[in-house]
Amino acid sequence: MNLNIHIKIPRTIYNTAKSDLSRNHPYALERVGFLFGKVGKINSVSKLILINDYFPIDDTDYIEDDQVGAKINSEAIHKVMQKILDTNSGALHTHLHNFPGVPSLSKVDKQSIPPLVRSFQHIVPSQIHGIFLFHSNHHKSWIIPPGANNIKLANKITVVGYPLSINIYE
Amino acid sequence: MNENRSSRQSFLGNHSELLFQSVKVAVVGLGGGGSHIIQQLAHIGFDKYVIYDPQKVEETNLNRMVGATSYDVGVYKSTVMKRVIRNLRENPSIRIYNSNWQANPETLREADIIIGCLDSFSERRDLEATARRYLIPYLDIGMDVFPSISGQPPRMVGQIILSLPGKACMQCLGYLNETSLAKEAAQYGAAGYHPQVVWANGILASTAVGIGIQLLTGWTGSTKPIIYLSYDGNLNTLNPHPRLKFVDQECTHYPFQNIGDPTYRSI
Amino acid sequence: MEWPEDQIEELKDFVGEVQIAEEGGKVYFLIPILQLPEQCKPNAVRALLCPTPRDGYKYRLFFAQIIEKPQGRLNWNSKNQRILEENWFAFSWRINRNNLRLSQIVADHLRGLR
Repeated sequence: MNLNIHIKIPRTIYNTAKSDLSRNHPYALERVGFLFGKVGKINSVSKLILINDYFPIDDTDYIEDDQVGAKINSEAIHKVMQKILDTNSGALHTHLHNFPGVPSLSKVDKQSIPPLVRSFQHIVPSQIHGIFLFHSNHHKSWIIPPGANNIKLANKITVVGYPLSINIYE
Repeated sequence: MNENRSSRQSFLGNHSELLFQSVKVAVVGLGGGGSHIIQQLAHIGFDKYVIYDPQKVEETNLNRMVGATSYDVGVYKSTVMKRVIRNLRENPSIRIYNSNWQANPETLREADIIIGCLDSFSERRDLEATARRYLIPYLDIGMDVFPSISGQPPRMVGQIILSLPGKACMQCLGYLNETSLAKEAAQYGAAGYHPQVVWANGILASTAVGIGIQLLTGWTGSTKPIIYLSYDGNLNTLNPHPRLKFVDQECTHYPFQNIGDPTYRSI
Repeated sequence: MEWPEDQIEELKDFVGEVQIAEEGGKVYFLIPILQLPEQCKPNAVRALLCPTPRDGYKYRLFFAQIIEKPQGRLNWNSKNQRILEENWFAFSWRINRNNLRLSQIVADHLRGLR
């Protein structure tokens, strides 16, 4: 089934997330956070993911590893999973590539993030989990449809604020 | 597409033409206010519409329903609006519901912006609740004419409100409150004569469209997201409502925790 | 918004399963299966209790559909009221007493269906 996904994120949460991810970390090159949201059903093939919270990762929950931009420990993952369960939400792993351009997942991103996101499906399979990637001037998102293994590009992202910002992805 | 059609509005931004073609607008209520709005959106270049109205054109609508002619009496209002759009846009996508929006709510959730041209406080409350739940900006317009009292002339009033998720809602603004809802409910079944005129609707609709364009394009650079304009039809003025001075920026009635499909908690 | 635990327990004892949600600053109690008085059609229905003032009523009990009662007719003055993404129906039933308990509100409304 070709699922059509539209992600909506309030401007306040978007700015909070981006601001947090832009901060320097004592030893990690990048920061990681999680956007939490709920599904809004339109019909069997179109769904909204409505972001309602941002969860930053504590400084102390990063693992020092100069082979990757950022690595978080099991404690951090446990906290995220607990929040998914407690709030019955979907979670989007998020980080920032602090340069302009069309967002794309790095080789390390593609290897390391999807397995984590797939594990979220076991906690709350009814919600949609995935990845949200910021670039300095753009953003993009990929999700894993419920019950599926493949990762697909979200079709549209709206940052809900004044003004609205709407991006459509083919 | 005629290249010159959008050239006089190029100040709205390089990508504005494409933006208007891709944004989906829901218009709920196709009478005096809604018909103006749709006509303007079509002129501007909007191509995607979801429109709701259960009514057919009546003789009494012809004093104000833009696009309707004498030949349209007995025709669904949506049919008239479809014609207005098709006369201006080459390939529009128009989802029509000859019903109240509550009968077909799912498509509404696809909208990037909802414009409400409704007659009652309770309908506005319900529509705003859905808009908030699905993080859709909601633009509301309305007018009324209060009868003459003690020899004074009738009073014509109206409002334009932008209800932006996260920011003050119509309850925060004091526009929707239990007193007005209770009073309206007490008059249920005694709808009676509901005065409406084309020029007042035109002012409200045009201003609402302008606000919508600002919201979509940001062309003015304004960052003031709370908009509540009060129309005085006797004085011909449109001003920020005095209540704005006392309103909290953030909404307490629709927290982000409650967005998405409703979930009930067991207790 | 918190509701007294004893009232919730009492309501559950009266009607069975109860769930809770909020919208627009109001709390709503969902009763998935509310047993109705004898000879009502249907005899059980999904119901939604609003225990705070709404539309000029101190309390309101909404139903998933219009109910046929054994005798007389009710004024169903609220039709297709959209709350929590469902359409609800309510008959006009004015209760003037203040501070009623949740179960009392439901019981009083059920009197209207006899």
